[in-house]
Amino acid sequence: MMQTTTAAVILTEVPVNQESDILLVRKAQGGDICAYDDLIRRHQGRIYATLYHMTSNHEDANDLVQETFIKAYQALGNFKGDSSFFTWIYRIAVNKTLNFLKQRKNRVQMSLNDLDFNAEHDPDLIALICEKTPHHEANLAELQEKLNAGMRKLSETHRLVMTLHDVQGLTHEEIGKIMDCNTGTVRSRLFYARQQMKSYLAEYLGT
Amino acid sequence: MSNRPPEEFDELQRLLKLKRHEQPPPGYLSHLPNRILLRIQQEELRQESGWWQWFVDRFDAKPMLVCLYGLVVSSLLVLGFQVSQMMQNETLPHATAQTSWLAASPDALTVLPFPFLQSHFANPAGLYNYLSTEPAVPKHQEVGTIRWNPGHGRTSPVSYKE
Repeated sequence: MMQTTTAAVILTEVPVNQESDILLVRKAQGGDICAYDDLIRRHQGRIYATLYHMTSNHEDANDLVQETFIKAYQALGNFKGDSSFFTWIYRIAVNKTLNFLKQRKNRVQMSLNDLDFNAEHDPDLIALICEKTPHHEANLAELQEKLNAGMRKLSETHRLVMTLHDVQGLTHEEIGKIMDCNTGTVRSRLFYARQQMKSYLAEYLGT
Repeated sequence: MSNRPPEEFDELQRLLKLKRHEQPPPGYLSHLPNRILLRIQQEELRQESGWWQWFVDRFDAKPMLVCLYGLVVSSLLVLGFQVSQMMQNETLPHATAQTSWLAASPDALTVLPFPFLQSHFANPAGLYNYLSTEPAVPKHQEVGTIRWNPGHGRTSPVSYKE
């Protein structure tokens, strides 16, 4: 139980110490592979989670996260520190993923990862499933499948905005930097994505 | 659009929280850094490998390119050979244009070998002076043999030298 709780924290709530990031980047630029190892361990959870939410496939996310960190290491000399390392590597990951999704346009493969122990005890989820929806018998696995299928119906950019904001918890400004667009565009994309998802998941939302 | 009340999507956002509970297979994140670093090192090794590896990589899974290269190299060899024959014909005045390259080659029976080879074959053992009539063994070394003497029942060395 302890293990699953820890994993969930790694995926969603890793505090990013920007000063240390820059220090590690400078060391890695000097050829210190251990420093880069630390950077990977620090950001792998969030990068992996984002790529998984975008692809809904563990194997694809695994390939993409590896390629992202390899590409980042090769381009480390170009990192000047204008943005945080976190934003910089997110941008690489996002670009790689968008290119990948364009290529696999017609390939439909969904491999859902397991839910951690905390999901069954999340009061919000319990309330939504057991009280507000007519499908009282619906379990978390069905809801998870429905959620992922709904997200796959969104365009890549809308899915990305929703993933970064509503799942990963990034701010509009951070998303704007990562996607290289202004916050107004981020907000409008987010609104559209939410509307789409809301209509798709209407039966679970009681609307 | 951004001024809409956030409550509109409150339930959706609560539902999306489920996505935060999705997690990769157990142990995946523990091994991921090692896999990435290994791939980085392999990539670096590949880049640092010699020109031969680069050359092989170029041809990897490109049979048409390999055939093309083979054809070009063979053509160059044939061309070089023909050019060398043309040049040889020009330098040998007795050889006519119609003479084949085999006929134009020197006769093995009439042409003497190099002086070094001549001396070697004349004195294959490498003797100091092979025309001398003196014994090859120095005088102070007596050469003897064992001869049987039936009268004494003993053997004694006998020298043939007077």
